[in-house]
Amino acid sequence: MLAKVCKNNMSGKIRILSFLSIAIFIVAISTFLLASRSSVPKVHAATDQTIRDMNNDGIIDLADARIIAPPATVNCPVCVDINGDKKIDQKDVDLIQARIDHNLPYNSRFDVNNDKVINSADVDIVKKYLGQTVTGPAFGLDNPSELAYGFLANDMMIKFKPGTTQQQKDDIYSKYNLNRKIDFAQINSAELHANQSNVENLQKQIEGEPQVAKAGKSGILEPLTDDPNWSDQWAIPKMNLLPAWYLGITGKSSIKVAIVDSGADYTHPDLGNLSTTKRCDATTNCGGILWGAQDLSDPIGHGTHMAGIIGATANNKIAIAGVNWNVEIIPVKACVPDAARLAICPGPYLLLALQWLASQGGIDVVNLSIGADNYTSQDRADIEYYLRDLEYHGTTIVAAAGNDGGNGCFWPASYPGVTCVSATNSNDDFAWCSGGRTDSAISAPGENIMSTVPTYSIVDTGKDGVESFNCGTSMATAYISGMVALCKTIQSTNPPDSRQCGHFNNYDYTTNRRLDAWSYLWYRNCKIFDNTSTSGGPPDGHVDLNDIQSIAFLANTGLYDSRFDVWPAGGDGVIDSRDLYVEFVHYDEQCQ
Amino acid sequence: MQILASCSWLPKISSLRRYSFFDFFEKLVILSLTFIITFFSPLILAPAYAQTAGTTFFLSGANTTSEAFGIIGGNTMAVDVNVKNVTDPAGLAAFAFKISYNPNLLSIPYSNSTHIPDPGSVTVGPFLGSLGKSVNCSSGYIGNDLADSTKKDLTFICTTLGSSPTAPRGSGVLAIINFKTGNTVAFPQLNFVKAQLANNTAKATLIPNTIGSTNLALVPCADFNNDHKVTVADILYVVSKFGTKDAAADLDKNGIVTVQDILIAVGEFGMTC
Repeated sequence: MLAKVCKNNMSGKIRILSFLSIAIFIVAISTFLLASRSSVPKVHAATDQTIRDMNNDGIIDLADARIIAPPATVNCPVCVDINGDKKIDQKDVDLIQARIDHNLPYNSRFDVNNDKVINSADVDIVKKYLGQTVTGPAFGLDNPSELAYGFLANDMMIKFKPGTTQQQKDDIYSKYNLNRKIDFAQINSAELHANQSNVENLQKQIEGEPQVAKAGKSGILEPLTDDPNWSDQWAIPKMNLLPAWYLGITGKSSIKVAIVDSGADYTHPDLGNLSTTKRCDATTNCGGILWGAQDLSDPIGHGTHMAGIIGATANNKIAIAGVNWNVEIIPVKACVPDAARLAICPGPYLLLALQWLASQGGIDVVNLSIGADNYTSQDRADIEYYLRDLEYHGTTIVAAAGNDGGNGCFWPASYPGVTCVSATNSNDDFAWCSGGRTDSAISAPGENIMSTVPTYSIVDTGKDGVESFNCGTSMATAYISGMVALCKTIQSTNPPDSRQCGHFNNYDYTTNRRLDAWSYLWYRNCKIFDNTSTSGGPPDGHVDLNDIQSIAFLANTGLYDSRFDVWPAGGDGVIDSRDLYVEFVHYDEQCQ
Repeated sequence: MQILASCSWLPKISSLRRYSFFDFFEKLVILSLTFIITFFSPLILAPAYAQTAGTTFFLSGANTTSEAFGIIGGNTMAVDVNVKNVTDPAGLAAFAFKISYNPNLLSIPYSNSTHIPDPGSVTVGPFLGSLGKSVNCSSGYIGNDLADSTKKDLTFICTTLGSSPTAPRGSGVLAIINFKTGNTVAFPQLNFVKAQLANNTAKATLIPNTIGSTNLALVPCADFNNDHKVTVADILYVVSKFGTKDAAADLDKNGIVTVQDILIAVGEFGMTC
């Protein structure tokens, strides 16, 4: 009996001990799992947080994201995606490096470690992320790349559907606790103050209201230059020129662009790039007259408009920014006012102008924003002789397709060796006036183009030194001339024919052959393709077999070195045979 | 003797036939003369390159002989691009060359818009991929010779992907260029403008090398009996015209049949026309 009791007690103890053991085991496992959870998903814990205005500067941007998830210690690809293109590549590195190299003003977007200084430490952090991509949602945003340029905290825009009454709008404001800031009555929109800094969820709720067409954050643009008419220069960002500017490709005063036109306003404060040593008034026989006696005044304003597009001084708080911030513009006056047609450019003046330019030598680009359909005058052959002469000596000649809205190119744009330019609008459709729709070599913006004009000219309606011209392949031509001039600052000294600055390929342009400056300049930038020396050291200014085989060695291995990611423009985080084939083309180039 | 005896195949009206009646001594003299001229000729047809023990980059004809002969009149003239004595421990991973040529004498068909040679005009040889490495080549590029506006350049590059398998060492054919001959008899030199070799390392260090140039003979076909092949009988025909102004045997078109014409015929021996 005793033995039985003892046995029962023993088995009970064993049972209790077993339970205790199991409980302890479960607690231990749970503790282990909980403990390990805090370290593994640390990444997600940071970027899963809904972003808010962490630094209380009224803006939600990368600076706030980097406070929540410092990219040096926490994996946060969006925090280092400087240009917001959802991929971390050499372009992001280059953008920071350019700010360092050119000592540009502080901008938190480039300050990866939030230490208020932009230096190599920021570059080093980005390099660790090369090849990664940005995916959403993160920081409570479906598209975390919005943080690159950021948006206003506590602020949103609502666009209402037509017919929405003010009472209906007020009801919505009340329902979502919004305070009206600005009414944009003409476009049926309003800017509102919200009580939450990140309005991502709020905008989704509001978009569900039947009267709301669209709700969204108030995004932010960066003023690129402090030129007062910059906001009217839609053509510059449209042509994707900004990344090239960011990289410091802003022109050189050693590049000479001649503008054969109606003269240029030497008194215009934004045209400091007009040549102080070369100019020609072909209407009074150029070189036959002393420099000071030459009359380059531009009562028509057309030549001054072209000069501004090509090379108006940037960041001087005056007028506009030219494609080239530095360049030598040589005005050649060959067009004069005409009572019946505003302006005319007589053939003899053009002949004299080209003859003078050919005699000068060293002209990089000649801009001919002039033309005529079926020009058959006696002097045509002589003019073509000088066009050939200039081209033979390395001058790129750019001419307007014509403003007849047709498919062909006017003369001299139609002459072999001359680059014919058609015009596009802000939608990349051909501008309503543009000729050359099938025959042009390249297109550029030519509709509603803002540029400099003389205040004394007949075209300056506001007498403020700037004017927007409605439509013309003239302006498109000036943009291309400016781009070619930029290109000549970075190309090799011995480019192959297909990479000459005046030779355009299908990867240089987009819809309707509208130039993409970033791509155009990338593939002609010799230094992109020179990454090592023949002994494997730093770049030696020459593209050799070692530069090429270095890419082949990495291709398709999964290994990555951003220096060799040369395709597409800006790189794609992968090194493969496409990079190799692009590099092949640059073999034996000598960089400037 | 046996070779000369084959002259009995010739038609009875053939002027070559008379050589079959030469006595043994005469035939021996002709043969000896041919060989002496061939081996001690001032006309250097073999590739010329620096005589070093290092790696050499050179050109030669793709025929069994090392001379580069081309038959004028739009015929294909294959020229090999060779490498000799690659001793770099890492092996050869890539090569690139630029060759200058006179398009009036030799041409490479290409697209005017892309400057890319037509398919088959320039092809990679067997050496680079001989150990199984994956070879990627450029399409080739025809550009203007910056040093001489009358000439054009062919640029061709081949690389190998990745570090493995190992890269080849030794000697072999890197590429084959199929020129088209023009209609002009000429003896131009084919020169490298640039020739580079890279080893199979991450740095792709260049392998030092010497380069050679090749003298070409662009001449008519020495087929006088119309059997579409250059045989001993054809050579003997030229020998028989030595010193005369025989237009057919005057292969270099200098107005008289000289030793050079005999050499040309000898150089073409075995070629089909």
